[in-house]
Amino acid sequence: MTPIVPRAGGAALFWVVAIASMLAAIAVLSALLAHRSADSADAVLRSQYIARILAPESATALDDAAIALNAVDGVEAVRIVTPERAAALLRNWGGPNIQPTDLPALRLITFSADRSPAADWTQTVAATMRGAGFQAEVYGPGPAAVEAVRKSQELASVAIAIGGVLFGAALLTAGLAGRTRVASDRMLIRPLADMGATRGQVSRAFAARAAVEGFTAGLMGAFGASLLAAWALSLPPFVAWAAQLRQEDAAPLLATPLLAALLAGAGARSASNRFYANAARSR
Amino acid sequence: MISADAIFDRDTDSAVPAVRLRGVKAGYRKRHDVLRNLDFEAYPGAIAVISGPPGAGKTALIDVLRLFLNPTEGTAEVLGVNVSKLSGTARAKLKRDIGFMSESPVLADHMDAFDNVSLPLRLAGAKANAYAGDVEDLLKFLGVPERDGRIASALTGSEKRRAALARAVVGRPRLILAEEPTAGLSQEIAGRMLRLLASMRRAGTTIIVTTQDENLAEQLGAQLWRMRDGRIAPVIAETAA
Repeated sequence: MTPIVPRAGGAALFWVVAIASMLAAIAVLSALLAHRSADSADAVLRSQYIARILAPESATALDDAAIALNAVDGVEAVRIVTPERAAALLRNWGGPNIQPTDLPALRLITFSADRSPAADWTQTVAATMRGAGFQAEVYGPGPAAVEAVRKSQELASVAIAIGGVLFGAALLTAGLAGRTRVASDRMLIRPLADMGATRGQVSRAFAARAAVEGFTAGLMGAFGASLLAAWALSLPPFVAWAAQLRQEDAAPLLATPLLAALLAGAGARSASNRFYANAARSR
Repeated sequence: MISADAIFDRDTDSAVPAVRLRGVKAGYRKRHDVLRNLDFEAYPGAIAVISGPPGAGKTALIDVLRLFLNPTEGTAEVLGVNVSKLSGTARAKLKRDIGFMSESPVLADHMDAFDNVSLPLRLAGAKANAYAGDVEDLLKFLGVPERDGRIASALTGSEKRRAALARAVVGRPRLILAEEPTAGLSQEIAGRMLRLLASMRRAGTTIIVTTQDENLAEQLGAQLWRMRDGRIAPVIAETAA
Protein backbone atom coordinates (compact mmCIF):
# COMPACT_ATOMS: atom_id res chain seq x y z
CA MET A 1 0.00 0.00 0.00
CA THR A 2 1.37 3.38 -0.97
CA PRO A 3 2.20 5.55 2.04
CA ILE A 4 -0.06 8.56 2.50
CA VAL A 5 2.88 10.94 2.23
CA PRO A 6 5.37 10.47 -0.61
CA ARG A 7 8.76 9.02 0.24
CA ALA A 8 10.52 10.29 -2.86
CA GLY A 9 11.72 13.81 -3.46
CA GLY A 10 13.69 14.54 -0.30
CA ALA A 11 17.23 13.85 -1.52
CA ALA A 12 18.47 17.43 -1.28
CA LEU A 13 17.18 17.84 2.25
CA PHE A 14 18.52 14.41 3.20
CA TRP A 15 22.04 15.48 2.32
CA VAL A 16 21.63 18.81 4.10
CA VAL A 17 20.70 16.96 7.30
CA ALA A 18 23.46 14.38 6.79
CA ILE A 19 26.13 17.08 6.41
CA ALA A 20 24.71 19.15 9.27
CA SER A 21 24.69 16.04 11.48
CA MET A 22 28.28 15.28 10.55
CA LEU A 23 29.32 18.82 11.46
CA ALA A 24 27.34 18.57 14.69
CA ALA A 25 29.07 15.35 15.71
CA ILE A 26 32.51 16.73 14.78
CA ALA A 27 31.86 19.94 16.73
CA VAL A 28 31.01 18.00 19.88
CA LEU A 29 33.87 15.54 19.44
CA SER A 30 36.35 18.40 18.99
CA ALA A 31 35.02 20.19 22.03
CA LEU A 32 35.24 16.98 24.07
CA LEU A 33 38.83 16.42 23.01
CA ALA A 34 39.75 20.02 23.82
CA HIS A 35 38.18 19.61 27.24
CA ARG A 36 39.91 16.27 27.79
CA SER A 37 43.24 17.75 26.73
CA ALA A 38 42.84 20.68 29.11
CA ASP A 39 41.87 18.31 31.91
CA SER A 40 44.90 16.20 31.25
CA ALA A 41 47.25 19.23 31.31
CA ASP A 42 45.50 20.39 34.45
CA ALA A 43 46.03 17.04 36.14
CA VAL A 44 49.71 16.99 35.21
CA LEU A 45 50.37 20.55 36.33
CA ARG A 46 48.40 20.27 39.56
CA SER A 47 50.03 17.04 40.67
CA GLN A 48 53.72 18.03 40.37
CA TYR A 49 55.59 18.40 43.72
CA ILE A 50 59.19 18.86 44.80
CA ALA A 51 60.77 17.90 48.15
CA ARG A 52 64.08 19.40 49.17
CA ILE A 53 65.84 17.18 51.68
CA LEU A 54 67.66 19.35 54.24
CA ALA A 55 68.78 16.68 56.71
CA PRO A 56 70.42 14.29 57.26
CA GLU A 57 73.22 15.08 54.81
CA SER A 58 74.68 11.59 54.46
CA ALA A 59 75.48 10.17 51.01
CA THR A 60 72.58 7.70 51.16
CA ALA A 61 70.08 10.12 52.70
CA LEU A 62 68.55 11.10 49.39
CA ASP A 63 67.87 7.45 48.41
CA ASP A 64 66.47 6.72 51.89
CA ALA A 65 64.29 9.86 51.69
CA ALA A 66 62.95 8.77 48.29
CA ILE A 67 61.97 5.38 49.80
CA ALA A 68 60.31 7.13 52.77
CA LEU A 69 58.53 9.58 50.46
CA ASN A 70 57.23 6.75 48.31
CA ALA A 71 55.54 5.29 51.38
CA VAL A 72 53.58 8.48 52.09
CA ASP A 73 49.87 8.09 51.38
CA GLY A 74 48.96 9.76 48.07
CA VAL A 75 52.48 9.99 46.73
CA GLU A 76 53.48 8.35 43.46
CA ALA A 77 56.13 8.60 40.74
CA VAL A 78 58.99 9.54 43.11
CA ARG A 79 62.19 10.52 41.25
CA ILE A 80 65.45 11.91 42.59
CA VAL A 81 66.71 14.91 40.65
CA THR A 82 70.15 13.52 39.75
CA PRO A 83 72.87 15.86 38.50
CA GLU A 84 72.35 14.38 35.02
CA ARG A 85 68.59 15.07 35.11
CA ALA A 86 69.15 18.58 36.48
CA ALA A 87 71.73 19.33 33.79
CA ALA A 88 69.41 18.08 31.06
CA LEU A 89 66.68 20.33 32.41
CA LEU A 90 68.90 23.39 32.67
CA ARG A 91 70.30 22.96 29.17
CA ASN A 92 66.90 24.19 27.92
CA TRP A 93 67.72 27.61 29.26
CA GLY A 94 71.54 27.68 29.77
CA GLY A 95 72.68 26.08 26.55
CA PRO A 96 74.36 22.77 25.76
CA ASN A 97 77.53 23.39 27.79
CA ILE A 98 76.03 22.76 31.18
CA GLN A 99 77.53 19.61 32.62
CA PRO A 100 76.37 17.59 35.65
CA THR A 101 79.69 18.17 37.32
CA ASP A 102 79.14 21.95 37.14
CA LEU A 103 76.12 21.74 39.38
CA PRO A 104 75.95 21.73 43.16
CA ALA A 105 74.29 18.82 44.96
CA LEU A 106 70.61 19.67 44.61
CA ARG A 107 69.11 17.16 47.07
CA LEU A 108 65.75 17.41 45.31
CA ILE A 109 63.11 14.72 44.79
CA THR A 110 60.17 15.19 42.43
CA PHE A 111 56.92 13.32 42.99
CA SER A 112 53.31 13.56 42.02
CA ALA A 113 50.03 13.14 43.85
CA ASP A 114 47.88 10.20 42.86
CA ARG A 115 44.69 12.18 43.50
CA SER A 116 43.63 15.78 43.83
CA PRO A 117 45.30 16.70 47.13
CA ALA A 118 44.11 19.05 49.89
CA ALA A 119 45.49 22.58 49.93
CA ASP A 120 47.82 21.87 52.91
CA TRP A 121 49.08 18.57 51.58
CA THR A 122 52.68 19.81 51.31
CA GLN A 123 52.70 20.30 55.11
CA THR A 124 51.25 16.83 55.62
CA VAL A 125 54.00 15.31 53.46
CA ALA A 126 56.71 17.33 55.30
CA ALA A 127 55.34 16.20 58.67
CA THR A 128 55.25 12.55 57.58
CA MET A 129 58.86 12.83 56.37
CA ARG A 130 59.81 14.42 59.68
CA GLY A 131 58.30 11.42 61.46
CA ALA A 132 60.54 9.18 59.29
CA GLY A 133 63.63 11.11 60.36
CA PHE A 134 64.01 13.52 57.46
CA GLN A 135 63.87 17.29 57.50
CA ALA A 136 62.32 18.36 54.21
CA GLU A 137 60.72 21.32 52.52
CA VAL A 138 57.87 20.38 50.18
CA TYR A 139 56.69 22.63 47.34
CA GLY A 140 53.50 22.29 45.31
CA PRO A 141 52.66 23.75 41.89
CA GLY A 142 53.54 27.42 41.72
CA PRO A 143 51.18 30.32 40.98
CA ALA A 144 52.23 30.33 37.30
CA ALA A 145 51.15 26.71 36.95
CA VAL A 146 47.86 27.40 38.70
CA GLU A 147 47.25 30.36 36.38
CA ALA A 148 48.08 28.24 33.32
CA VAL A 149 45.61 25.64 34.52
CA ARG A 150 42.93 28.29 35.00
CA LYS A 151 43.51 29.64 31.49
CA SER A 152 43.41 26.21 29.88
CA GLN A 153 40.17 25.42 31.72
CA GLU A 154 38.67 28.68 30.45
CA LEU A 155 39.66 27.84 26.89
CA ALA A 156 38.23 24.36 27.29
CA SER A 157 34.94 25.86 28.52
CA VAL A 158 34.85 28.15 25.48
CA ALA A 159 35.50 25.14 23.22
CA ILE A 160 32.66 23.22 24.88
CA ALA A 161 30.33 26.21 24.50
CA ILE A 162 31.21 26.67 20.82
CA GLY A 163 30.86 22.93 20.25
CA GLY A 164 27.45 22.99 21.93
CA VAL A 165 26.27 25.95 19.88
CA LEU A 166 27.49 24.36 16.64
CA PHE A 167 25.86 21.08 17.62
CA GLY A 168 22.57 22.84 18.36
CA ALA A 169 22.74 24.96 15.20
CA ALA A 170 23.59 21.99 13.01
CA LEU A 171 20.76 19.92 14.45
CA LEU A 172 18.31 22.80 14.14
CA THR A 173 18.98 22.42 10.44
CA ALA A 174 17.33 19.02 10.75
CA GLY A 175 14.26 20.68 12.23
CA LEU A 176 14.15 23.25 9.45
CA ALA A 177 14.67 20.52 6.87
CA GLY A 178 11.69 18.67 8.33
CA ARG A 179 9.58 21.81 7.94
CA THR A 180 10.77 22.42 4.38
CA ARG A 181 10.04 18.82 3.43
CA VAL A 182 6.42 19.25 4.53
CA ALA A 183 6.18 22.56 2.68
CA SER A 184 7.07 20.81 -0.56
CA ASP A 185 4.08 18.48 -0.09
CA ARG A 186 1.65 20.97 1.41
CA MET A 187 -0.72 20.63 -1.57
CA LEU A 188 -1.49 17.12 -0.36
CA ILE A 189 -2.73 18.38 3.01
CA ARG A 190 -5.74 20.22 1.57
CA PRO A 191 -7.48 17.14 0.10
CA LEU A 192 -6.56 15.13 3.20
CA ALA A 193 -8.25 17.75 5.36
CA ASP A 194 -11.26 17.75 3.03
CA MET A 195 -11.53 13.98 3.37
CA GLY A 196 -11.80 14.24 7.13
CA ALA A 197 -8.23 13.45 8.13
CA THR A 198 -7.62 14.71 11.66
CA ARG A 199 -4.73 17.00 12.47
CA GLY A 200 -3.09 14.09 14.29
CA GLN A 201 -3.39 11.78 11.29
CA VAL A 202 -1.76 14.33 9.02
CA SER A 203 0.99 15.44 11.37
CA ARG A 204 1.81 11.85 12.38
CA ALA A 205 2.27 10.84 8.73
CA PHE A 206 4.56 13.77 7.98
CA ALA A 207 6.43 13.58 11.30
CA ALA A 208 7.05 9.86 10.87
CA ARG A 209 8.46 10.38 7.39
CA ALA A 210 10.71 13.23 8.55
CA ALA A 211 11.87 11.23 11.58
CA VAL A 212 12.84 8.25 9.43
CA GLU A 213 14.63 10.51 6.94
CA GLY A 214 16.26 12.51 9.75
CA PHE A 215 17.47 9.33 11.45
CA THR A 216 18.91 7.90 8.24
CA ALA A 217 20.60 11.20 7.39
CA GLY A 218 21.85 11.49 10.98
CA LEU A 219 23.32 7.99 10.78
CA MET A 220 25.04 8.94 7.55
CA GLY A 221 26.37 12.11 9.19
CA ALA A 222 27.59 10.24 12.29
CA PHE A 223 29.29 7.67 10.08
CA GLY A 224 30.97 10.46 8.11
CA ALA A 225 32.05 12.13 11.34
CA SER A 226 33.53 8.84 12.59
CA LEU A 227 35.53 8.40 9.40
CA LEU A 228 36.74 12.00 9.48
CA ALA A 229 37.68 11.77 13.16
CA ALA A 230 39.54 8.49 12.60
CA TRP A 231 41.48 10.07 9.74
CA ALA A 232 42.27 13.29 11.65
CA LEU A 233 43.39 11.42 14.75
CA SER A 234 45.82 9.38 12.66
CA LEU A 235 47.65 12.56 11.59
CA PRO A 236 50.88 13.26 13.49
CA PRO A 237 49.74 16.44 15.31
CA PHE A 238 46.69 14.68 16.75
CA VAL A 239 47.87 11.12 17.38
CA ALA A 240 48.32 11.86 21.10
CA TRP A 241 44.72 13.02 21.30
CA ALA A 242 43.45 9.62 20.15
CA ALA A 243 44.79 8.11 23.38
CA GLN A 244 42.53 10.44 25.33
CA LEU A 245 39.34 9.12 23.73
CA ARG A 246 37.05 7.15 25.99
CA GLN A 247 34.08 4.89 25.34
CA GLU A 248 31.63 7.59 26.36
CA ASP A 249 32.98 9.84 23.60
CA ALA A 250 30.87 7.80 21.20
CA ALA A 251 27.82 9.47 22.78
CA PRO A 252 27.62 12.38 20.31
CA LEU A 253 27.96 9.93 17.42
CA LEU A 254 25.10 7.87 18.79
CA ALA A 255 23.01 10.86 19.83
CA THR A 256 23.29 12.66 16.49
CA PRO A 257 20.95 10.37 14.47
CA LEU A 258 18.44 10.24 17.32
CA LEU A 259 18.42 14.00 17.77
CA ALA A 260 18.27 14.57 14.01
CA ALA A 261 15.24 12.25 13.85
CA LEU A 262 13.61 13.96 16.81
CA LEU A 263 14.14 17.48 15.47
CA ALA A 264 13.21 16.64 11.89
CA GLY A 265 10.05 14.96 13.17
CA ALA A 266 9.23 17.91 15.39
CA GLY A 267 9.83 20.37 12.54
CA ALA A 268 7.61 18.35 10.23
CA ARG A 269 4.89 18.03 12.86
CA SER A 270 4.89 21.76 13.50
CA ALA A 271 4.80 22.61 9.79
CA SER A 272 2.09 20.08 8.98
CA ASN A 273 -0.02 21.39 11.87
CA ARG A 274 0.26 24.87 10.41
CA PHE A 275 -0.62 23.77 6.88
CA TYR A 276 -3.45 21.62 8.21
CA ALA A 277 -4.81 24.60 10.11
CA ASN A 278 -4.78 26.60 6.89
CA ALA A 279 -6.45 23.79 4.97
CA ALA A 280 -9.08 22.71 7.45
CA ARG A 281 -9.87 25.31 10.04
CA SER A 282 -12.85 27.46 9.38
CA ARG A 283 -12.12 31.13 9.24
CA MET B 1 -21.23 -3.76 -16.90
CA ILE B 2 -21.60 -2.56 -13.33
CA SER B 3 -24.62 -0.37 -12.70
CA ALA B 4 -24.35 2.74 -10.58
CA ASP B 5 -27.27 1.56 -8.43
CA ALA B 6 -25.40 -1.61 -7.57
CA ILE B 7 -22.64 0.41 -5.97
CA PHE B 8 -24.76 2.41 -3.54
CA ASP B 9 -27.69 1.23 -1.50
CA ARG B 10 -28.89 2.91 1.71
CA ASP B 11 -32.03 3.74 3.62
CA THR B 12 -32.39 7.35 4.68
CA ASP B 13 -34.46 9.53 6.98
CA SER B 14 -35.65 12.39 4.84
CA ALA B 15 -37.47 14.31 7.59
CA VAL B 16 -34.49 16.40 8.70
CA PRO B 17 -32.74 18.68 6.21
CA ALA B 18 -29.26 17.52 5.35
CA VAL B 19 -28.27 21.15 4.93
CA ARG B 20 -29.95 24.19 6.44
CA LEU B 21 -28.54 27.72 6.23
CA ARG B 22 -30.40 30.59 7.88
CA GLY B 23 -29.35 34.20 7.41
CA VAL B 24 -25.79 33.15 6.69
CA LYS B 25 -23.18 35.78 6.09
CA ALA B 26 -19.66 34.66 5.27
CA GLY B 27 -16.58 35.78 3.42
CA TYR B 28 -12.85 35.70 3.20
CA ARG B 29 -10.05 37.80 4.59
CA LYS B 30 -9.96 40.10 1.58
CA ARG B 31 -13.71 40.09 0.97
CA HIS B 32 -15.90 39.74 4.04
CA ASP B 33 -19.35 39.89 2.46
CA VAL B 34 -19.41 37.16 -0.17
CA LEU B 35 -22.52 35.50 1.25
CA ARG B 36 -25.19 37.99 2.32
CA ASN B 37 -28.04 36.82 4.51
CA LEU B 38 -28.34 33.55 2.63
CA ASP B 39 -31.11 31.02 3.30
CA PHE B 40 -30.83 27.58 1.78
CA GLU B 41 -31.81 24.04 2.59
CA ALA B 42 -31.65 20.62 1.01
CA TYR B 43 -33.16 17.36 2.23
CA PRO B 44 -31.71 13.87 2.14
CA GLY B 45 -32.05 12.37 -1.31
CA ALA B 46 -32.30 15.78 -2.98
CA ILE B 47 -30.10 17.22 -5.66
CA ALA B 48 -29.63 20.96 -5.78
CA VAL B 49 -27.97 22.47 -8.80
CA ILE B 50 -26.70 25.96 -8.07
CA SER B 51 -25.79 28.22 -10.94
CA GLY B 52 -24.66 31.76 -11.11
CA PRO B 53 -22.08 34.02 -12.68
CA PRO B 54 -18.50 34.05 -11.45
CA GLY B 55 -18.28 35.95 -8.15
CA ALA B 56 -21.88 35.20 -7.20
CA GLY B 57 -20.74 33.26 -4.11
CA LYS B 58 -21.04 29.62 -5.27
CA THR B 59 -17.56 28.72 -4.01
CA ALA B 60 -18.16 30.46 -0.67
CA LEU B 61 -21.40 28.53 -0.25
CA ILE B 62 -19.60 25.25 -0.97
CA ASP B 63 -16.82 26.33 1.44
CA VAL B 64 -19.40 26.80 4.20
CA LEU B 65 -20.97 23.41 3.45
CA ARG B 66 -17.61 21.62 3.38
CA LEU B 67 -16.81 23.15 6.77
CA PHE B 68 -13.94 25.26 5.46
CA LEU B 69 -15.58 28.63 6.03
CA ASN B 70 -17.51 29.56 9.15
CA PRO B 71 -20.47 31.93 8.85
CA THR B 72 -19.86 35.28 10.49
CA GLU B 73 -23.59 35.59 11.08
CA GLY B 74 -26.57 33.24 10.91
CA THR B 75 -26.64 29.51 11.46
CA ALA B 76 -25.36 26.72 9.28
CA GLU B 77 -26.44 23.16 9.99
CA VAL B 78 -24.78 20.44 8.00
CA LEU B 79 -26.05 16.88 8.45
CA GLY B 80 -27.92 18.03 11.53
CA VAL B 81 -24.89 19.64 13.17
CA ASN B 82 -24.45 23.36 13.82
CA VAL B 83 -21.00 23.86 12.35
CA SER B 84 -20.16 27.21 13.95
CA LYS B 85 -18.50 25.88 17.09
CA LEU B 86 -17.24 22.45 16.18
CA SER B 87 -13.94 21.20 17.63
CA GLY B 88 -11.21 20.26 15.18
CA THR B 89 -11.75 16.54 15.69
CA ALA B 90 -15.54 16.78 15.44
CA ARG B 91 -15.15 18.85 12.29
CA ALA B 92 -12.82 16.22 10.77
CA LYS B 93 -15.25 13.42 11.66
CA LEU B 94 -18.20 15.28 10.15
CA LYS B 95 -16.16 15.84 6.98
CA ARG B 96 -16.00 12.04 6.54
CA ASP B 97 -19.73 12.22 5.80
CA ILE B 98 -19.17 14.89 3.15
CA GLY B 99 -17.75 14.06 -0.24
CA PHE B 100 -16.21 17.05 -1.98
CA MET B 101 -15.15 17.28 -5.58
CA SER B 102 -13.38 20.53 -6.29
CA GLU B 103 -13.43 22.22 -9.67
CA SER B 104 -9.64 21.79 -9.63
CA PRO B 105 -9.25 18.51 -7.78
CA VAL B 106 -5.93 17.75 -6.12
CA LEU B 107 -4.90 14.11 -6.13
CA ALA B 108 -1.95 12.62 -4.29
CA ASP B 109 0.51 12.62 -7.15
CA HIS B 110 2.60 9.74 -5.79
CA MET B 111 -0.39 7.36 -5.68
CA ASP B 112 -2.21 5.56 -8.47
CA ALA B 113 -5.94 5.99 -9.06
CA PHE B 114 -6.86 3.07 -6.79
CA ASP B 115 -4.87 4.40 -3.83
CA ASN B 116 -6.18 7.92 -4.36
CA VAL B 117 -9.79 6.78 -4.42
CA SER B 118 -9.37 4.55 -1.38
CA LEU B 119 -7.70 7.29 0.67
CA PRO B 120 -10.88 8.44 2.51
CA LEU B 121 -11.53 4.83 3.51
CA ARG B 122 -7.97 4.38 4.77
CA LEU B 123 -8.25 7.58 6.78
CA ALA B 124 -11.49 6.27 8.29
CA GLY B 125 -9.63 3.13 9.37
CA ALA B 126 -11.09 0.65 6.86
CA LYS B 127 -9.09 -2.46 5.93
CA ALA B 128 -7.87 -2.81 2.35
CA ASN B 129 -9.54 -6.17 1.78
CA ALA B 130 -12.87 -4.68 2.90
CA TYR B 131 -12.89 -1.88 0.35
CA ALA B 132 -10.79 -3.11 -2.58
CA GLY B 133 -13.79 -4.53 -4.48
CA ASP B 134 -15.89 -1.37 -4.09
CA VAL B 135 -13.05 0.86 -5.23
CA GLU B 136 -12.34 -1.31 -8.25
CA ASP B 137 -16.04 -1.38 -9.22
CA LEU B 138 -16.29 2.37 -8.91
CA LEU B 139 -13.22 3.00 -11.03
CA LYS B 140 -14.40 0.51 -13.63
CA PHE B 141 -17.79 2.22 -13.80
CA LEU B 142 -16.13 5.57 -14.38
CA GLY B 143 -13.68 4.08 -16.85
CA VAL B 144 -10.53 4.85 -14.88
CA PRO B 145 -7.78 2.22 -15.06
CA GLU B 146 -7.31 1.31 -11.39
CA ARG B 147 -4.06 -0.62 -11.55
CA ASP B 148 -2.15 0.22 -14.71
CA GLY B 149 0.96 1.39 -12.88
CA ARG B 150 0.39 5.07 -13.57
CA ILE B 151 0.57 7.46 -10.65
CA ALA B 152 -1.87 10.37 -10.48
CA SER B 153 0.53 12.86 -12.01
CA ALA B 154 0.51 10.71 -15.17
CA LEU B 155 -3.31 10.59 -15.46
CA THR B 156 -5.11 12.70 -18.03
CA GLY B 157 -7.19 15.65 -16.88
CA SER B 158 -10.40 13.70 -17.52
CA GLU B 159 -9.11 10.69 -15.56
CA LYS B 160 -8.14 12.94 -12.68
CA ARG B 161 -11.64 14.43 -12.53
CA ARG B 162 -13.24 10.98 -12.63
CA ALA B 163 -10.88 9.72 -9.92
CA ALA B 164 -11.70 12.81 -7.85
CA LEU B 165 -15.43 12.12 -8.16
CA ALA B 166 -14.84 8.48 -7.24
CA ARG B 167 -12.86 9.64 -4.20
CA ALA B 168 -15.69 11.96 -3.20
CA VAL B 169 -18.34 9.22 -3.30
CA VAL B 170 -16.40 6.10 -2.27
CA GLY B 171 -17.06 6.50 1.45
CA ARG B 172 -20.83 6.63 0.81
CA PRO B 173 -21.05 10.13 2.26
CA ARG B 174 -24.42 11.58 3.28
CA LEU B 175 -23.65 14.83 1.47
CA ILE B 176 -21.81 15.33 -1.82
CA LEU B 177 -20.59 18.71 -2.97
CA ALA B 178 -19.39 18.93 -6.54
CA GLU B 179 -18.08 21.96 -8.38
CA GLU B 180 -18.57 21.78 -12.16
CA PRO B 181 -18.53 17.95 -12.10
CA THR B 182 -18.89 17.51 -15.86
CA ALA B 183 -16.73 20.38 -17.07
CA GLY B 184 -14.28 19.34 -19.75
CA LEU B 185 -15.57 15.75 -19.95
CA SER B 186 -16.83 13.88 -23.00
CA GLN B 187 -20.56 13.33 -23.23
CA GLU B 188 -20.23 9.66 -22.45
CA ILE B 189 -18.08 10.19 -19.37
CA ALA B 190 -20.23 13.10 -18.19
CA GLY B 191 -23.27 10.84 -18.58
CA ARG B 192 -21.67 8.20 -16.39
CA MET B 193 -20.80 10.74 -13.74
CA LEU B 194 -24.38 12.01 -13.71
CA ARG B 195 -25.71 8.44 -13.49
CA LEU B 196 -23.44 7.86 -10.52
CA LEU B 197 -24.71 11.00 -8.79
CA ALA B 198 -28.31 10.03 -9.55
CA SER B 199 -27.79 6.58 -8.07
CA MET B 200 -26.35 8.13 -4.93
CA ARG B 201 -29.36 10.38 -4.70
CA ARG B 202 -31.60 7.33 -4.83
CA ALA B 203 -29.56 5.87 -1.99
CA GLY B 204 -30.47 8.94 0.08
CA THR B 205 -27.40 11.08 -0.40
CA THR B 206 -27.90 14.83 -0.66
CA ILE B 207 -26.07 16.24 -3.65
CA ILE B 208 -25.23 19.87 -4.20
CA VAL B 209 -23.69 20.81 -7.51
CA THR B 210 -22.40 24.22 -8.50
CA THR B 211 -22.16 24.93 -12.19
CA GLN B 212 -22.61 27.51 -14.87
CA ASP B 213 -24.39 24.92 -17.00
CA GLU B 214 -28.06 25.08 -15.95
CA ASN B 215 -28.89 22.10 -18.19
CA LEU B 216 -27.38 19.90 -15.49
CA ALA B 217 -30.44 20.49 -13.32
CA GLU B 218 -32.68 19.02 -16.00
CA GLN B 219 -30.32 16.12 -16.65
CA LEU B 220 -30.25 15.27 -12.95
CA GLY B 221 -33.91 15.99 -12.34
CA ALA B 222 -32.80 18.47 -9.73
CA GLN B 223 -34.02 21.69 -8.20
CA LEU B 224 -32.21 24.61 -9.82
CA TRP B 225 -31.05 27.52 -7.66
CA ARG B 226 -29.53 30.75 -8.88
CA MET B 227 -26.99 32.79 -6.99
CA ARG B 228 -26.23 36.46 -7.47
CA ASP B 229 -24.37 38.88 -5.22
CA GLY B 230 -24.14 36.46 -2.35
CA ARG B 231 -27.83 35.57 -2.28
CA ILE B 232 -29.61 32.48 -3.54
CA ALA B 233 -33.13 31.76 -4.74
CA PRO B 234 -34.84 28.67 -6.21
CA VAL B 235 -35.83 28.81 -9.83
CA ILE B 236 -39.52 28.06 -10.15
CA ALA B 237 -40.21 26.01 -13.25
CA GLU B 238 -42.48 27.73 -15.71
CA THR B 239 -45.64 25.81 -16.37
CA ALA B 240 -47.63 25.88 -19.57
CA ALA B 241 -50.68 28.12 -19.32
